[in-house]
Amino acid sequence: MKIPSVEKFSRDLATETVESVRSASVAKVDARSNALKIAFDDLEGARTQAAQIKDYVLDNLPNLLPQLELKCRLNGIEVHWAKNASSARKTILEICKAAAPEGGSIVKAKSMATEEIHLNKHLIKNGYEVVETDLGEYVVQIDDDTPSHIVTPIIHKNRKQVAKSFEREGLGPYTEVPSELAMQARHHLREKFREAKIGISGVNFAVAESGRIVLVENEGNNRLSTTAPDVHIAVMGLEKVLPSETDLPLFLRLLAGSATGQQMTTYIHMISGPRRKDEMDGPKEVHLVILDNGRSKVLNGPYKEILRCIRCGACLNVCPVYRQASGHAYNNVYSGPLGAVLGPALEGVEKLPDLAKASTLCGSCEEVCPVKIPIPRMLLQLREEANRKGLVKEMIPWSMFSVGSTSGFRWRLGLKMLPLAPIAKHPAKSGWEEFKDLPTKEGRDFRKWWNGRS
Amino acid sequence: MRIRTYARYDAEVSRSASNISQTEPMTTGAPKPKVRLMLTCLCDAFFGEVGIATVRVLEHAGCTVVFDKDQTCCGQPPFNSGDWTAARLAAGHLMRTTLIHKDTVVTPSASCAAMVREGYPMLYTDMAHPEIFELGEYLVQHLKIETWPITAKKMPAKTKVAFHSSCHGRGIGLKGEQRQLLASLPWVELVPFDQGEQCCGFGGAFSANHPSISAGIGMEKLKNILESGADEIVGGDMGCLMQLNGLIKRNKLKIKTRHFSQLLAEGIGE
Amino acid sequence: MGDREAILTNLGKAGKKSRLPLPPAPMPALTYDALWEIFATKLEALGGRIGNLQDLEVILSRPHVLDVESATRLGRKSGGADVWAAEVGVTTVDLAIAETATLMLSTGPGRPRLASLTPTLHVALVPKERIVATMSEAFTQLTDRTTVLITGPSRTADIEGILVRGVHGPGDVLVIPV
Ligand code: SF4
Repeated sequence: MKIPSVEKFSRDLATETVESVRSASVAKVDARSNALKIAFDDLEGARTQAAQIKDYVLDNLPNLLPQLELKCRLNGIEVHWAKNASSARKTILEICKAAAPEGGSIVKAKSMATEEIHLNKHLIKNGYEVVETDLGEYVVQIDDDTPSHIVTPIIHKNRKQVAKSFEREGLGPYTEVPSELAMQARHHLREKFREAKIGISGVNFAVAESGRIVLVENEGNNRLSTTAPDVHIAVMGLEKVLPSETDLPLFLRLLAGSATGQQMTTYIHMISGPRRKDEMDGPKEVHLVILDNGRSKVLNGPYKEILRCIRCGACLNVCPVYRQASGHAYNNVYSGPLGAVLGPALEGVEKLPDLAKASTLCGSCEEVCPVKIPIPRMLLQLREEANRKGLVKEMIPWSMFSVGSTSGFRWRLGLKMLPLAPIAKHPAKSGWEEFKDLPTKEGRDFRKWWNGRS
Repeated sequence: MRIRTYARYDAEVSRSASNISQTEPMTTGAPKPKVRLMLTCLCDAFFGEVGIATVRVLEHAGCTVVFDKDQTCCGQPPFNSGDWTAARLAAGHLMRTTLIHKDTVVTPSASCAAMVREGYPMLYTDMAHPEIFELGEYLVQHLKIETWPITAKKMPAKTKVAFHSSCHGRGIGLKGEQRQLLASLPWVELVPFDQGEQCCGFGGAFSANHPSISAGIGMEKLKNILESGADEIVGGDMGCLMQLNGLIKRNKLKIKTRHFSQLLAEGIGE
Repeated sequence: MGDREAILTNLGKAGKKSRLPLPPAPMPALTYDALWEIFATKLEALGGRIGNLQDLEVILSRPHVLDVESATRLGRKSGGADVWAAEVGVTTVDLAIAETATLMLSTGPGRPRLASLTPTLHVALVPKERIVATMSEAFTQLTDRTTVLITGPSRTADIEGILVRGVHGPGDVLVIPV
């Protein structure tokens, strides 16, 4: 029996890591519910509204995207389309080559879309120095690691590990005080912001009506990356468009509360184009890369609603499986319940056939999701698809189960044989027995009791 | 409700459906609400006492209980594993033996109720959400029992209860009905514990194919419960309790588990 | 076929789905003073400060003050520190939003984008009557310029979830109603 990938990974996980992930997740879940309680009188209504706006967007992309394109161009933002990862990498490299033909450094703000297309590696291969500037992402980069959470990339590390990495990189004297570590990063990265000719970011929202790119962050590195260099490249999954600016307050509040338990994220950068003639600073060029990479296919299939996602990470924090396994277990840039659906949806069930099984289907992801994505339903559908296509080997032979479960006679016969179970050999039984005792029949038998009543 | 048929097992399924055998207790006096019990496979196989307690509780609440002896399983195990063909066969059997009578169906498991209510419409896309109730939900929402009527002469021993609300209970919209009934028992003291809404880690086949994660989740739950000083864990789903009990026994922890119907049944006089 | 056409072809036709209208904007119901009181409470909870013109005097006398527009508007000599060397950045803002203690700043002549970002202290001058209750209300007054909404000091909780202020942006935000 092949051990499912998430289970396999979690087995080798250090207790220390599990504890880091667990305690951070618990804290974030509490912060989220407190923040949203303050922010909304009617949270249910707000989530429904947000889900509905996102559905409207998903149904109207053929109009909204060209509208966004037009408005962006009027604002002086250059728009590029990329149907897949390689096309996106090619486009971005061309922009970089034009802006800095001799190479040089690129500052990067945290972006899942660029993780998805493995952009950094490509740019480095082509002679650029790429520096992640979000504190967490910076640690990930110097440790040659990958983010284990879409909002908190180093949720799996503790301060000692960060301290060691900073000391190794020569950022300053060894310290385990988070504020001192943050200051070391500030000083080190300041120089990078000054030097860099190019800044690359993701996109949280793009407003079709106004042609504005909206970026949300707490540290300030995102604003620096998109303001200081001469060229700003923003990479956006095509589902991130919103019809109108009046939709933003709802989403900004939901995102702040769900992601970090804040009333509002510290910086909301609403970019209306490059530096204008009367301005003293800001990039001279702004590029928007609209990325498909499987999304248009997802849009026309059973997992469409996953594209409502605003990447808040709330479903990861609340997920009991994520807490035990951490994000790396999902073997995909998107982890947790979101990743278990979006990963196979974008890349095909064939590539990640057992990811959907890494869930108890407890439903807490759907309960916290600000855009009410029915994640458990889609996990079930993914399991069905994998089973139908014969991609996973079932532990329990369900056709045998059907024989028993479709006849009262055979069922009762099966129950009579149950006392023999402890001597039987079966992978499902040994899986259960590894950490738990088998259930035993306790007290009276229901059927005997029922039959004996008069 | 249209029931689709599936290839090989059709003949067998329809045969077993035509032989539906029932035993109905004698009814006397005023018309009582008739309730069809969906026993659940776990109570059938391991936890007969929970089935018995459920029947006694329903009868004490004034119902006439009917049990269809050919009933098997709701089909959730194959459904959750992705084998929807096998799930449809089991679901079809439950429909033919139990749901088809259009009586009120009650089950001592929110998980099985969730399967029928939410899962069946996924298996049969033109099906409306079938009516089936979890025991506590039925007692409180439909029979309007807010306080459990106690007729036992002797009070059971006092007990400190950590109540585990199952995820599927939240999923079908339970609002603490089971807890409410437990709270009305004078010998029960409900003790709060940290992370009360967290999953137990069972997840059906998940507990066998992701055993270390499943056990990790369960142990975290147990740690929080043990810290509360409870004597026992009481819940409304034998799946969760079976999971926790397996861990309790393996780790020799000092706490026991019971279904909430068993505590209600203690309050019924002979 | 180019990527644009390929993507638009894959997307197919737009659906006709209509959308729920947003809830109507609430009527202005609070006085400026009441709004400032809310703003101050929320800002202080975030680690920011409310100040007055005397505070500004003291600050403007410090070296490395970047103040292109605001001080001149108040009849003072403009400080002109380099944006990267500045320790203090003084800016005016378009609007203050009470419910979240948010400042809305658009860019434009005399308003460098980095002035509110690179220094360790950001001093924001807000005309007293330029305060609204909610973000929705503020958004009705958006200009077509690049705009930034600032809520409290720069922060991170990336290391063990511990809050640290001032990681890349200002760790100190002083709002002065004028
Ligand atoms: S799926 Fe929902 S909860 Fe999860 S990250 Fe996306 S928006 Fe947040």
